[in-house]
Amino acid sequence: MGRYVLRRLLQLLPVFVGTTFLIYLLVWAIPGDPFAGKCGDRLCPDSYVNAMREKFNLDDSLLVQYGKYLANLVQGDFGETFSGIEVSELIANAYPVTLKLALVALVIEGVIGLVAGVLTGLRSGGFLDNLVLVSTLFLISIPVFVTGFVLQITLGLWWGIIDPTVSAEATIPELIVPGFVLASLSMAYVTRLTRTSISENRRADYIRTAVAKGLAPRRVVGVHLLRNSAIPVVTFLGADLGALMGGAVVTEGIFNIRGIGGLVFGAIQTKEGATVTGVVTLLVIVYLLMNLLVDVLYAVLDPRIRYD
Amino acid sequence: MTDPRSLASDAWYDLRRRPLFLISAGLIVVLLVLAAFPQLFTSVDPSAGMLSRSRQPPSAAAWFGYDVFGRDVYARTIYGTRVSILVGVLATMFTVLVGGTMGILAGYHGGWADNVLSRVADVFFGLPFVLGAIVVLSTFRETIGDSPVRITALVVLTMSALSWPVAMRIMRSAAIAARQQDYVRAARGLGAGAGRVIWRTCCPTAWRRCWCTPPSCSARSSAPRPPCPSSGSGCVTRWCPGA
Repeated sequence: MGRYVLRRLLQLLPVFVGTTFLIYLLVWAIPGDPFAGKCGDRLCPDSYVNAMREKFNLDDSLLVQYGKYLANLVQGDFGETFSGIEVSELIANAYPVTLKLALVALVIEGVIGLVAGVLTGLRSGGFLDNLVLVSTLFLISIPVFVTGFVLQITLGLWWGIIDPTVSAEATIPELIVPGFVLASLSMAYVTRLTRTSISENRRADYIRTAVAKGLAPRRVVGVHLLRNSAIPVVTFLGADLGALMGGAVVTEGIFNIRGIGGLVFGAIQTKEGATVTGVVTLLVIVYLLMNLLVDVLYAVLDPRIRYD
Repeated sequence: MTDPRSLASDAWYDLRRRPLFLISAGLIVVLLVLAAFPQLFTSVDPSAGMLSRSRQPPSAAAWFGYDVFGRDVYARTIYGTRVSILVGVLATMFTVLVGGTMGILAGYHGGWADNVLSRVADVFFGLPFVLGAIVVLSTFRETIGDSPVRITALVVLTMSALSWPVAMRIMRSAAIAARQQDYVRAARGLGAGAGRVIWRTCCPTAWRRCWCTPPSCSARSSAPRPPCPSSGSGCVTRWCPGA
């Protein structure tokens, strides 16, 4: 196992470098001069522009710039914005909020998706099954920004059950509705995945054996069936955490959550390349590590899978 | 004994007896007609704005009401369908074609080709979809100009560039599985070259799996800029003023 993890970690390196380079290339290729409007109504003096270009290595070739950026990044230095704020500070403020939102969403989609999937998978064809199928289809076909605005307007403005926007503290209860919105699409996928997986495994030999040897139905379903059916679901949930964090931009925009989504969006518009690259780099790391974790979890869930 | 039917007519015979298929096919046809001939469904110009009727609620004259600029939202929805369908279909097609080709090459050849292609796919897969799309679209916004065709093309290409790894992974595992099948071995044993084996034996089975799995992107997450009406843009422009 240890060797497998090490090999996987080494494989992550080229992917990490490739992704960060790609995003660096794209961000610094955004047209326009970042220092054009920095000095109010008048043109910026040449000395300022030159000093800034010098500071941010903008006169080097892109490859050299990226090399210098990566060298700093490896030492934990995310660089500065053009107005001199440490990018790491910005990220430290915004990242936990988005992480919290994504985790709330993950819990919601995991719990609701698994329960609905197990219930329908065990008893397919009934009223509940059709209800769940139709409602997941509904969730899959509605875009996130529609779910978000509809819930914000109905629950927040008309009925006054929740605050329409999330406060700066972003406590867990406040994040439940935004988390639900963020999770809605994946929740439908989790439900369908669990349902398919359960109804396939329900007829497997080991289930018949477990029933035949007189185990209580609760144990058969809870331990034997669930554990084996969980593998595809765990894969999905694991890979989804990264996607949720990256996809939170829309939800954060709707509910005014001060997470990395708004940070990146603002940074793109003001051409703060360092901020964009820093945030996306962190997202990529989360995504890659979650994938690794999922692969390791496979072996825990299914003893037949061994990596050595 | 009845006459033996071909595979296609067999499927058609089976399908036209299913109400679910008939309803879905009917809906798809309506949407396609809507996309092809929007003027059949509304006679209002979707971009004719009149500030005096700004933000009026739905009425008999305008079923969906008017937006801030006093444009008929119903007409804009009808005219927007074309772009949304076009983007959805084209993006899916490119995704499956690029990802499928890469996947089949990686899966069939294995070895270092598989390694290189898989890592390249990982690089693109690691980029978060929404953020990646925002960055790409704002990078090329200036260079692409204002022509609706070029904007649509940019959106389609961006979405395929960010989602082809999904199709690639599915296709790769399908190709790996297909390579071990007896009929593929038989074809190779008969001396068929790699190209022929992939095209005639691997492809038909593997492609089916690829098409059946919808890529993560779809028309609803795309939003061309305001000048071209699309089903998505009306909502998106509210929260991101630059979109």
